[in-house]
Amino acid sequence: MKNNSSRNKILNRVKKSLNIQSTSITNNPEIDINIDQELKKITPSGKELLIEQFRDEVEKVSGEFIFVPTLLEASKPIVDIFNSEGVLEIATTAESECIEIAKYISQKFSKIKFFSTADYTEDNRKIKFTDINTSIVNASYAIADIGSVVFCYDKTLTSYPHFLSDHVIVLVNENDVVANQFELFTKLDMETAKNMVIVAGPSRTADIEKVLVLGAHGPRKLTVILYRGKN
Amino acid sequence: MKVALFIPCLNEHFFAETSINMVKVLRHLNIEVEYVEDQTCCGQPAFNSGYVNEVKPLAEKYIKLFADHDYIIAPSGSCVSMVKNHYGGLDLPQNVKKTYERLKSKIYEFSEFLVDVLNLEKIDAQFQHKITFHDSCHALRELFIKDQPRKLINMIKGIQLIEMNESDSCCGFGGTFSYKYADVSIAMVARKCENIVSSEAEFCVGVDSSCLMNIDGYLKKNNPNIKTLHIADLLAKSMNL
Amino acid sequence: MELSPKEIKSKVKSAIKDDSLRKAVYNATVSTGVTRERIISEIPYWEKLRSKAHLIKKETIDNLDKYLELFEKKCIENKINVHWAVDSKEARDIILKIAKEKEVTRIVKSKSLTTEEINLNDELVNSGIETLETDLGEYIIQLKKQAPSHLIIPALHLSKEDVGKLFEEKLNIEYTSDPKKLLKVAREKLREKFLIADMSVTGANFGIAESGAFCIIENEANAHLSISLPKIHVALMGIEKMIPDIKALPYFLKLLAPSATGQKSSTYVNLVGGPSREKYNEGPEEVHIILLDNGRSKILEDQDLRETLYCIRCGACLNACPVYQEIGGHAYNWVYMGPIGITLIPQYLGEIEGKHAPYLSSLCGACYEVCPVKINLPEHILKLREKVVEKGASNIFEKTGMKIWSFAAQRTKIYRFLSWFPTKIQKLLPNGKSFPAPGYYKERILPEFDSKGFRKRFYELERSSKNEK
Repeated sequence: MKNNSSRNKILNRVKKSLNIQSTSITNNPEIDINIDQELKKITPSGKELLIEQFRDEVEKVSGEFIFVPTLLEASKPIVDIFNSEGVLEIATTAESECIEIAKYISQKFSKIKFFSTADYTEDNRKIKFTDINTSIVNASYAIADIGSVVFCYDKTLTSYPHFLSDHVIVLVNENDVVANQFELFTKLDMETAKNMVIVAGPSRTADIEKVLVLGAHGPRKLTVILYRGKN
Repeated sequence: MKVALFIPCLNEHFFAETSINMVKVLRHLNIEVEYVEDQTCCGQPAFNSGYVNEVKPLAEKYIKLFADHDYIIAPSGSCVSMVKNHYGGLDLPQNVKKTYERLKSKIYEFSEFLVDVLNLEKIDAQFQHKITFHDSCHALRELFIKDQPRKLINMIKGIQLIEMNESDSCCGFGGTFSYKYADVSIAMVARKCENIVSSEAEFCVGVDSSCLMNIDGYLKKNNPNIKTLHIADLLAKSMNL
Repeated sequence: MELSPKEIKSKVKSAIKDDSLRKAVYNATVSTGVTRERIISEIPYWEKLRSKAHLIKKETIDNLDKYLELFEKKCIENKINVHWAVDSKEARDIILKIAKEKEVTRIVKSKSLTTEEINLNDELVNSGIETLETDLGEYIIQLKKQAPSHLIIPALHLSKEDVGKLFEEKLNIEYTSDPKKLLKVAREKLREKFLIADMSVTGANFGIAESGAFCIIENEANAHLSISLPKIHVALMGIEKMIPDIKALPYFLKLLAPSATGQKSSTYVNLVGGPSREKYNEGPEEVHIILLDNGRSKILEDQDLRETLYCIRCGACLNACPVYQEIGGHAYNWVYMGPIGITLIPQYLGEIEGKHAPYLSSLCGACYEVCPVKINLPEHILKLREKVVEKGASNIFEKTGMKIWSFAAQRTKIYRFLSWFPTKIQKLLPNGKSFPAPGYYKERILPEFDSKGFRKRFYELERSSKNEK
């Protein structure tokens, strides 16, 4: 194996150093720290309040939040967005939720064309999807206390519609909303958690005089559509 | 009640009046005070610059000197913190360490002593002036002294305490830092004084003479109308002692 | 560019004179501090988070060899190539080798202090490879050919007018100082670059041992585009960035964002667990991670200073530091600055070469208050000062003065004599009130010696009160 000697050098140095026990000289914190109680206290009780918190937090990170009772009813606000932005081309992933919505909308508005990442591969995919300004994607989870959505690549099989479009519309099932990141990582299995991204609103920067500007290199707009049930 | 006086070297040489005022206030409150002969310096200036070997004998001397007192009071947060928090890390002989462990809990900064030990709630004091308060770093962050001096101030009739902007920001003294990086130190004290001036106070009060000396030095040159007062000075003045 | 903190003293002097820099630095650090306070007030378990994160880091660093071996094993299982670099040069060589082997001509970089530490960009550019910074702050300073002046906000020292002029000159656009318009320009220019780059070079905030994956945290999405468009992704990570498992990650996520930018959460938390092309038909065919030592294993040797390896590079200590607030990051002349910087400088450069660094602090303790992993920075700064003295590297006058002071203070009578002396000669000095104290008295009037001293006054007081009775 290449540069095995560096590996051994480094590991040996580390092992040698660690023969000396460390003395963390700060005021010794408790041996085991548990924040479950505190998290419980601060988490809104009941689904309604949790969703309300999620909505507030999404808006705090400059996302938009829309609630619809069923997945297919998401088509109405989506079409409104398309009309107001003059959108005719939409990117989607190949997930069932996105495909369902795409089909439903296409039936009524034939002018709107949907492009699924499944139909493109490798370089063709990045070339095609960088030109599409609007996308519909599906979140595996949403995190209420930080207004974030979670995309797991084992499910989405892509991240191009999530990042290359200007305006990303995210479908979230109400049952997939968790209270905080701690809860999220108890729900995710280790395999899935290796390839994923947590997103809090549109891309941004404050690198110039700390003035916050949205739409850095990723999406400029992020709309979360939360639906209750599929039917 | 009898207390032993721990007089920081800075006070001994430059701000004797502040320590005298502390004595007057304590006596007025019927506390017997004792000056421990032979005390010189706790070693803080050397310690903060990394001269551990020079500090060890001073620490030993200090611990032996103050060993048998029930209360040790100093008009300085940084000196108290030096003994309370930093002597422990020195490589001292076992028997000295043992004495030190007993001593640690008996040493107090002046305002801390008045409020937390004597439980002082009322004083007959008047001071018809606007003042602001500077939170000295060691007192604030190592001894958690923030409320005590304010409580004392608010016991004084006619006084107006105006909190300055960034009252807990370092004044820039830092011992040898004040001349090692004098430009930075001056920039920091300038900013502190800017905040004092903006508060429109006539006096800046604090618990550490080192900070006050630094601030006063700058004010004298740039805003000579504003004066500094140690909490002991303020109390003595307002109580007419 | 090659940075060396040896010139700290002169850099500090020039920083103090730069008014516009100081204004920019002060405003940025204070405003971040304010938003941080606000966010933390909404997290009642903040102190517990800090303690927990400290414990996790302690566990990881105290068992670093095991976690590194586990991480390597799992990464390889995930088809991530693992490399080990003893020092900067080796890390640069590894990256260059990968680039040359794959005939890379265009690299996009996301913000990585570690790549600045190893001085990577110059080497790549000198080898004929276009190397573009994509984080807006880094993009700006790359154009300006400057080093970053803050851990998190690299272009903090520049005003929007400065950036406007820079873009006008270097990018041939009409002058504007509107941050929105300036960002739009950068976005358009860089979007093309992401699409045609052959390789990306990034850092990594955390390496997750049990998963064999690593985490990249950002706000602009430039890191995400960098890691998901080019065919090759190379990540450089200091060996101290390990955490044991994915369940440890949320503690750090919750601490990092408020500490670094005053946000509740960073906009993007990317987890990379292997090359995506095979599984998902897009993105990198190859993912490499380079584990960098470059002095870290040496820091491990000191059982107290080892704690400085817990640093998660959030920059909170910079924002809280009243010294940093007055001078900005360039004064430290190195990639790591502020309170954490002055503890790392002597550890990397050597105690004698880096001897001025630990004294660039008033020991106010504000850094320790805000450090999300509870690194006792003031203690470490003190320890490093002790080392300077131990090595005999301190100023000869100061050393002599301290020795005399200590000698006298141990012997009360000598002390009293020596303190009496200056009170007499003070009156003889031209500016009666001042004593020579190098530098101190430039803007400050020194106090007068009390002619009697406390002890004498105390006994006088005793006598007079006895007489009254």
